Amino acid sequence: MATPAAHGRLASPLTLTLILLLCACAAPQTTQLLEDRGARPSRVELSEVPFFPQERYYCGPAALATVLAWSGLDVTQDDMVSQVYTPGRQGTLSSDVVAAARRNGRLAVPVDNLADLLAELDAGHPVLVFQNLALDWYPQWHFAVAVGYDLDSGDLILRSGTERRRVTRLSTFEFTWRRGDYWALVVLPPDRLPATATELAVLQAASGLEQTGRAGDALAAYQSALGRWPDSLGALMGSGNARYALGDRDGAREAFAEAVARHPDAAPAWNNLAVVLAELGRPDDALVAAREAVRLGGTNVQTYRETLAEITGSRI
Amino acid sequence: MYRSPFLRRLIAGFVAASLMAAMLPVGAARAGLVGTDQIVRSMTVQQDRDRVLAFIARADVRSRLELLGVDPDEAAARVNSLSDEEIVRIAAEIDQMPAGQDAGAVVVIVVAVVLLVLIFTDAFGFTEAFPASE
Repeated sequence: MATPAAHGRLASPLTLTLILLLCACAAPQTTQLLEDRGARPSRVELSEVPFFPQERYYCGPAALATVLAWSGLDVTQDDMVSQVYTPGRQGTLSSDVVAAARRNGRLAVPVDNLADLLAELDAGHPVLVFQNLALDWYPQWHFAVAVGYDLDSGDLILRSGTERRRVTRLSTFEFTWRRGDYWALVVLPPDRLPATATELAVLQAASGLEQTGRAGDALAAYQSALGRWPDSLGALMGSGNARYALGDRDGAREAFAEAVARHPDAAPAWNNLAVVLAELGRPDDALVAAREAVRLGGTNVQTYRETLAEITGSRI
Repeated sequence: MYRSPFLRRLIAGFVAASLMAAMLPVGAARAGLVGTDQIVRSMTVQQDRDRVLAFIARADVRSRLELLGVDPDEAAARVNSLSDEEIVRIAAEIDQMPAGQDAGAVVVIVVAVVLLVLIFTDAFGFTEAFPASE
């Protein structure tokens, strides 16, 4: 853009403002995805994803029921209303959606960019998305489920509201999704991992399942995590803790033993191994492990000292 | 409100019992095990700490720091002495940075991060950038 010399002084702040305005209106992720398609198919649609037409303000329950039913659970929209709907707000909080997915034994992992969202669709996973269909200062929050895309026409396909197959421009979706703070979730059976998630994101989701009291589902998730990241300390520890919670002390011992073999510096692994060995009636081995935990120390050193004291006390 | 002393006592007893139940530790059954949630939390904090260090190590950020009169190596050393909660807060600050990363935003974030690092380390007594008055 040419600027008359006479306005030279005004030009730079003005140009800057214009550039900022232009930036605010572009859909950078969509542009990049359409320009650089890589090995991605140009069209994907998961037609088998069920549809629950939204009743009243129940877009949250409807979207959650959609992904849960796809994942193999026998649920209805009404079942989900009591789990996620907040009557005072006439809507659903995104944190409640995560909690409800976990209560139903499902691995709920966030997705926060458009490339990953499409990659999950490529892997056959529908993605629950949170949009603000209106404006920042006049929000109209909405949950929907992305089930497909078409790069040639630049569209995203959703189960949304009362529409079984809502087709939206990818760039429009990027705007409404950005105003929803790029919040999205894949909800999977615990033995199935997201295509894009990091080790940490999977462990957070699996440990969330464990915290919810779904130790069996958490164990399945830790086992699948170990399939992808065999060295993962978090998955080994989770696998041991979940087995312990299920009453399988031998299995727990094996997992913790594997954890210390692969991570000899991990004090929590030595501590947990010591606890289980003591309960299995192997006080001498337990003592060795407990001493190692205390020697390594760290933030939980008080717990390790207590473990050691208990084992020493019970041996006398 | 409740005239019957029996009813009042019943309600008082119920309230007392539920308060006591609420105070019982939840994970009491799992004696001595370090929970997976704790492991995952410390992994999360480590990732945040690495992200803050990576941010400070960026060439454009280093030059901004020098313009502000802060030694980048000293800043990195301080990051390692910050507590978990402080690291999480600073990492969240860096996350606020728009993906486009225009120069103006970088300056704002750098200043915010530097201020947070200095305020936190001051509180620890490592630095005296913001001495209490006089």
